Amino acid sequence: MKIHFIICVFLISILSFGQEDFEDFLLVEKDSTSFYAFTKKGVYTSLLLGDGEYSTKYSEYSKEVPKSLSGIYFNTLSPLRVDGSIYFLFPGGGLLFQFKNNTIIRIDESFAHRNQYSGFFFSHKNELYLLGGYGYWEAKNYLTKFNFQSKSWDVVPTKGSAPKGGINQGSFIKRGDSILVYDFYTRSSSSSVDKQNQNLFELDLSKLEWFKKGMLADRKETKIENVFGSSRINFSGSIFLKYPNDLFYTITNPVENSVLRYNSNNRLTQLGPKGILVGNYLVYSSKTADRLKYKVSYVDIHSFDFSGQELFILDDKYLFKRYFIFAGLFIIAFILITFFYFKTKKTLLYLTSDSLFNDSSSIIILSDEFKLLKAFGLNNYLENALVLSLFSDETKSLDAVIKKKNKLILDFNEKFKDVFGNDLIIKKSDSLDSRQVVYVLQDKFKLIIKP
Amino acid sequence: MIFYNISAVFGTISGIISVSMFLLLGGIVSYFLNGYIYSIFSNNKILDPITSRSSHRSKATRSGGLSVFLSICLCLAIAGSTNSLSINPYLYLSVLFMALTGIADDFFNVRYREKFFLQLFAGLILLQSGYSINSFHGIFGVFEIPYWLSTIVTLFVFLIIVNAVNLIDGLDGLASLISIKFLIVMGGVVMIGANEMFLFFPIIIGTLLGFLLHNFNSVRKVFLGDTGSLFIGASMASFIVFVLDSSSQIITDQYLSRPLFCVLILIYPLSDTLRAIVLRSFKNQSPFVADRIHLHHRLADKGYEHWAASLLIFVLSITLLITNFFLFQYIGLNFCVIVTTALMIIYYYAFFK
Repeated sequence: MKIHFIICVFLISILSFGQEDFEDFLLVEKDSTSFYAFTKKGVYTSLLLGDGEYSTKYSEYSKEVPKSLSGIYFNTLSPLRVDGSIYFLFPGGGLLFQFKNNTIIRIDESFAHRNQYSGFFFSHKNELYLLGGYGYWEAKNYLTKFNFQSKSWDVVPTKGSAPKGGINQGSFIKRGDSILVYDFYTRSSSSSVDKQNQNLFELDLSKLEWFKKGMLADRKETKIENVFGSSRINFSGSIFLKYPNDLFYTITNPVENSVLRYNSNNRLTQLGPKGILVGNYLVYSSKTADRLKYKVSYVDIHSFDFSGQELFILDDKYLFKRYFIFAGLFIIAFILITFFYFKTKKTLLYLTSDSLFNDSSSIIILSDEFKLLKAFGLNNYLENALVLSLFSDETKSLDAVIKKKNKLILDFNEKFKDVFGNDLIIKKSDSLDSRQVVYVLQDKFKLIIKP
Repeated sequence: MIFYNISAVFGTISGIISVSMFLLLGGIVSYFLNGYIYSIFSNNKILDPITSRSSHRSKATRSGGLSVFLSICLCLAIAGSTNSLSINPYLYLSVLFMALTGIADDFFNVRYREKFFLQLFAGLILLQSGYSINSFHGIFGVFEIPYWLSTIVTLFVFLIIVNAVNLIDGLDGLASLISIKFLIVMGGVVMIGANEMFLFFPIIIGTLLGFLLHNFNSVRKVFLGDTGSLFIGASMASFIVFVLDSSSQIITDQYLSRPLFCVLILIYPLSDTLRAIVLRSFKNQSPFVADRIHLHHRLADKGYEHWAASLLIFVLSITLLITNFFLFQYIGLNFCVIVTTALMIIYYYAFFK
């Protein structure tokens, strides 16, 4: 009995925790001083009063929200304000809703295709588009447009250098007729790795053409897990970016090619992915003191300390020149090393009974020459007496043998010089006894006797 | 993760370190693998025969290409596993296919016609990568070209480059040095335009340097063989197609016309092949006949040692490229072509005649 009671209490406590009703709302900028907070039952319209204060007016929807919205968190929708209308895109794309006459209605006849999670939902010339995203284990780089006639999404063909491997969790800036895309992750179906792309791309919406605009300045690669909770907010052609665990945020301004860095210290620790900018104020949801519900907080974005400026895109020309300074030094060093290595390296000469050769040239040798060279193959330094002994002949006088030796060496050197450009055998006086004559091989050459 | 933005290598210490690491890794792996595979070939008497056309008189193997190829595969696997490198799989496939063709040729002597069709097939694989020569970039006033013409031109250029590199592999170090020059220059272009592929360059340069130590060795000589020349030729051809694809972002556009740039970084293989084909045609010979009429053979016959001839050609081709880089902005394409032709004639009479 006691055990049953304990189990019941345990189950009730788990269920009660699981069914705790957290408030779920979606923030959307209304104008430079006010914003909406959409919930599943109604919408709060708040006016910022400064000093952390705001006034709020609540208005319940005149109709229930469509059923397709009941199963998801509201703050997972992608909102878009176009003139007087507000549109909401279902996570992953497909279902489209509009806030109209104090109610949210579904305006598409599409389906939740789930191919474009984290895609960029934007409007251009009163048309709604969705660019890139992730779905079914690969990132996509295609552009889809909502067709208000057929109430479905059509793929818009683009040309040029679209990011290969798709665009997942990217930063997007819309400027006039073009969209800048950077800081995104690629992932193809053949690779299970999310790789952060380091380039800036531009999609020209008038020509529907992609351009690769250059490389981002060197920055630490961020793992995709850290990006999920990050806050990226578009405002007036710039992007506010803060990663969950960082104690700073950055504002990227492509026009000025700068990334400004501000210290947020511990003041923005609760800033999640769905914050918005209203005028100069950063509006975001944060947990209440009991940590059971969320409340809306806001802070002046200019109230943080500026801590530095970095380049946004690298200067290609500068980088290219720098590369070629390194490459030039490498080539010069390589040429010099190769040159001096071979200039000081001994040339190998192979000796067989009838020829002397290397890789490029060869000469035919006589048997006496072979005898002499063979002796040099064993010792680089031959005394005159030893050389004479090679040609000794009992039938001839010593004088004749000396003449024969001298003529042979002279003729051989001439023959060798014609082909290899140098004398091979040099006559010298002995360093220990200057009266003695010795024969040495030219330093440049080394003889190898081939069997 | 120590590999930050590899593209910005020459802007950061970490980038320089990672590039140096892969250069060194390629060099060390290639050096040892070349020695090891040489021993295997040598022990099994798989030696390059010494014929009247041979430039060597001592024992040598044609194992260099295989060693270089295996070294590159190993280094690419390491680079790929650290997420530092990402290359279109069809580029890999095309180059791999050419390397396999080369291995078959080294071991079994593939007939020229069969080799031609295998090269054509590798070119078709390359086309699947999405890269093609789809524009003439203003040559003869033509820019974008139709798809069918683009396919034909891409295949033609691929075949020409692969065979040209194969043909200049006639002196110690020549094909490697010409390839190193190409890879150094092309590395700069790829670093800016497609930085995800950049690490391929230090790897392949490192492996070629490791190979060169064996190639220049007089006692344990190793040649690239068809494996090496076809593999390197296919790699070079792939990057030329990448550069000539109009969708590629090429930094040299600011300094030089793209087609001229491509011709200049391959000036020696292209001019030598063209010259050989013209001379053979005058003699009513097949353009593919094997002989000793190449420019590098002239240098060797003039008494230049192999290393000196190779280094001279390496330096001369670099001077042509640098001259054009500096002059193009001032004198334009047509005058650059004239200046280049004049310089080549001067070089010919000064060194090769």
